Amino acid sequence: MNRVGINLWREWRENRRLLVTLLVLIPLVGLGAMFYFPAKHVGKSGFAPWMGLVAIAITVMTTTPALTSRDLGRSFARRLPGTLAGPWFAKLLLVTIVTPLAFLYGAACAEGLRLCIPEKAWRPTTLASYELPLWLSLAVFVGGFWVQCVSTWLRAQLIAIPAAAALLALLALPVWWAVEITPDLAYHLVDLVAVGAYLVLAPLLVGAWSFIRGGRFEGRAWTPALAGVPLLILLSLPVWGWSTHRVLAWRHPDPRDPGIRMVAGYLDADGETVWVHLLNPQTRDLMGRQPKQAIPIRINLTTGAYEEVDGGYGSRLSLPKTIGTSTDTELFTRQFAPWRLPDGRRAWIWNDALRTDGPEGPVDLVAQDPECMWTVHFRGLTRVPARVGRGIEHYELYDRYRDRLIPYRYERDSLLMAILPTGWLHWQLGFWAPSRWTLWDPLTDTTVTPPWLTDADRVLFATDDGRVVVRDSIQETLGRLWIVDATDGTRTPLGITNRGHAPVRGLSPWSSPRLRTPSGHLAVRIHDEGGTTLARLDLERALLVPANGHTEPNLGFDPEVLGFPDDDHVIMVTNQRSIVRLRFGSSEATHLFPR
Amino acid sequence: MSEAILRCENVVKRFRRQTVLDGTDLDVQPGEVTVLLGPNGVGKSTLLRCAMGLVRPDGGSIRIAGIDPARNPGHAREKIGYVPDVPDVSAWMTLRDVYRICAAWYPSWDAAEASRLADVLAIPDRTPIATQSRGQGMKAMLAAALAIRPPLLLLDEPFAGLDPIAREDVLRGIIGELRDADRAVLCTTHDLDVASRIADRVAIMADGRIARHGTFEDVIERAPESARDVSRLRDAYVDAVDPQEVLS
Amino acid sequence: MRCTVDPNRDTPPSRQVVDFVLDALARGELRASDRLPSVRELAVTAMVNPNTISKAYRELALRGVVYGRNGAGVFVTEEGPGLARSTRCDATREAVRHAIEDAVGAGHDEDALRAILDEVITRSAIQTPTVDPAVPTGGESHE
Repeated sequence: MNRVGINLWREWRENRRLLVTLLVLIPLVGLGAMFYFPAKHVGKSGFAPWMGLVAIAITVMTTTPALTSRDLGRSFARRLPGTLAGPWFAKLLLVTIVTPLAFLYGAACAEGLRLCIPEKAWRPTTLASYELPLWLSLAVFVGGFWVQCVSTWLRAQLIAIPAAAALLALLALPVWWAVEITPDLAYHLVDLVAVGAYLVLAPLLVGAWSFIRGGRFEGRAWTPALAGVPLLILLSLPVWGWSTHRVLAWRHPDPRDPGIRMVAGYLDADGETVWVHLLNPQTRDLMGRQPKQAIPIRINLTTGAYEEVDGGYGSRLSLPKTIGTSTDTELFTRQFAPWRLPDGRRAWIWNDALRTDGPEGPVDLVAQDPECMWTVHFRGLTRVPARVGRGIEHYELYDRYRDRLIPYRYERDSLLMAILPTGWLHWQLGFWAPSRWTLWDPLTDTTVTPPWLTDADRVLFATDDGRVVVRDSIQETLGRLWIVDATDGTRTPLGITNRGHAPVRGLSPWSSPRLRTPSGHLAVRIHDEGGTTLARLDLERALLVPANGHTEPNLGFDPEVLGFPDDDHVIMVTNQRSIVRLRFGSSEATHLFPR
Repeated sequence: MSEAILRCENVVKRFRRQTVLDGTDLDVQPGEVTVLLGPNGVGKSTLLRCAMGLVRPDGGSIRIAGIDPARNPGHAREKIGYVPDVPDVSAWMTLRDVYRICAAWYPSWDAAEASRLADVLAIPDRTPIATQSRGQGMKAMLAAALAIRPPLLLLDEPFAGLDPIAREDVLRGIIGELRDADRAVLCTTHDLDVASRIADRVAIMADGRIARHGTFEDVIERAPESARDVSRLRDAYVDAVDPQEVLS
Repeated sequence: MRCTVDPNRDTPPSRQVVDFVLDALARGELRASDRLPSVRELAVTAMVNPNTISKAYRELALRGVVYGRNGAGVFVTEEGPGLARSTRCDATREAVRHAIEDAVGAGHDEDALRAILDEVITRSAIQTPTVDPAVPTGGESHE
């Protein structure tokens, strides 16, 4: 017989009595356990894998602790010529052969018992209702390697299992740390494989080194540990490094990384600094949800430099407020102020107050009420300031033409489309009758049908000067755009630069209320066959000036307009990761970031 | 003088702070029986285990036919038949099992010699060695060590703890196999009677060093004049070793 | 007779072996051209280093009592028994003479000495044929 065979035979002989004992013990444990498993689960599939796991656990706990320490004393095996490599691999082979066999044997015993004992005899509990994951058996199997590794360091075999568990817990700490903080490990196959390989290979390598190298000479019980522990630390460094890297990468994402998304951002008043939130959409937590924690950063578009703001990870900043670190926050809000009063003043909501420009800075447009808060009304097409408070019934909309708060009356089949100088325009949804337009005067509480609109018109939004933008087709087909004066019904064709009064699929204001160029032009989206394009509405010229440098199907959702450095340019995020500058009225597009 | 099969030069070994070997020099020549005498705990076993490559010396050098056992224990051990003071085989091992393992590890294994030794020494080959008497166990160890036809035979206190009859049995076994070509034997013992029966050379160890070393006659010559070999050796021994140590 | 070597005795081990062979020759247990036990056999029997036996055989050869035949073993020369008898008889006669002189000087009477002489001779004559060299006699001589 060759040495491999002899070594294996020797290990078999060393452990024969124990293994034979296990042959008897495992069915006995099964017999005992089956009376604690509910028949309905056991009757299907639950019991056999559980018993397999139990068999593996018993085998690992009994065979491995003494496996290596046995040869490390003043033993015959140790003083043979040749190294301890042979015995080591024989031991490893024994574990690798015996453990799966134990699983099969345990499962077979369970099946046999199930066939032999009537289900009525079984006593139910809840244990077997737990699904047994395969990895648990694998974990116990791999745990055997760790116990074998640790047993080379300890002569006292009783503490080998707790010692291995403690060691594993210690080493798993960085992994746990990484998973806890970046809870998406389960979705990263490469990382999982790497960690798995570490968990399997580290005890094998360290154990082999401890036993073969550390056990070369007689010494104290911990002499093999002196050889093995440094190697273990060496092998663990990549894991710790990986964990640290993961956590750092999670906490400090690189905006140039193709996997990183830019969500929600704006251009600073200086025109070259942008503030964006970074999100790693590849990450998922263990429930499969995308993380909501975004990291705010500031990018200098001129230099390409970027830095985290407000401490980066963990910041609860809502980005527009971050402006406080660079310039006056209210100034910023006013710059993007969504509303224009009839006299041309701007209006915006800030700190639960509706404010406007006064001669000496911002003033409250409506006297503050400490029991109320300001929000933006979202139902229908109109985005108007709303004040809520004093119970949920108290809901008022600000009518800028009448300069007062008017209680909002919710009607299920009536959508407020625009607040106009002549009244509130509603789209009355007909169920039996056709849908129609109505105009409600809040002061007199009278409703009329506006003569200047046909049922085919689709009101898109109200302009700052009290007119409405209309598309002359209510269907989702092409239609021409008009600017309709609600007082006299005058229809002005709304053209598009270089396209004349061509029909379009649709036109919509930006979902965000802040989109105005510095001189107050609204930014809107033109929906067309080729996709959606951002355009500037020049009300005086009755002209849409599109920025043709970028068009994409879902413009307005995925890309984000960061801001307008001047009336002719827009800076936006495309594909959620590139910052470009577009020019209105041309196809010019300048890539700004990442460089 | 021919090339020494075992050459120890200035071997130093410390355990914790206790220096066990403190510059030990010892050469063992082929064809000679060297008896290493010394009180218990003086480092005789340590020296042997250093030679086996089981203990790494802290200093000095050991060569087994030119091989450093600390660096290349595998090759060094192939040349050594080693008999420990207590049988160190696993509890289940029979002589057959030991033979089977040795046959796979020692290139010089002589199966015919092995079975001859089992016959001559009357060792049952299917009874676990651990269940046999101490003397039988030692003979089994001796048989396994001799059947590899080693150029160097190391005997670590082979008679310690044996009753008189077993001791004589083991001694006869050893003596019967001493005269094998150029085999060198190094036997540690503190049994002076045995020493004077088998020693060609005697080395007396004290304080981690070899205090006396020479042919049997040389060593007893240097002892105070006395008629008997054993008492002369005893005198040489007592002379070499600190009397306090002997008494303790 | 079984060859035993006792390192505790006054004579060195190799001399004890020489004396044993010479005694055997003198008593006639070994005859001319008889083959002596091999070195290993005699070493095991006497429990001494085979080199001690070799040394003894060399001394016997020097005295002309035995001779080595290549490969075949060691044999007693024709003159061996005679040489042995004279050597051993001379040596022991002197020893006996001294012993008797001491005894007489110490005041033993003649009859008592004769009785001792008879007893020793009788006992030796009974013991001689019964001893088998192959059977170990135990270790009392080493204690």
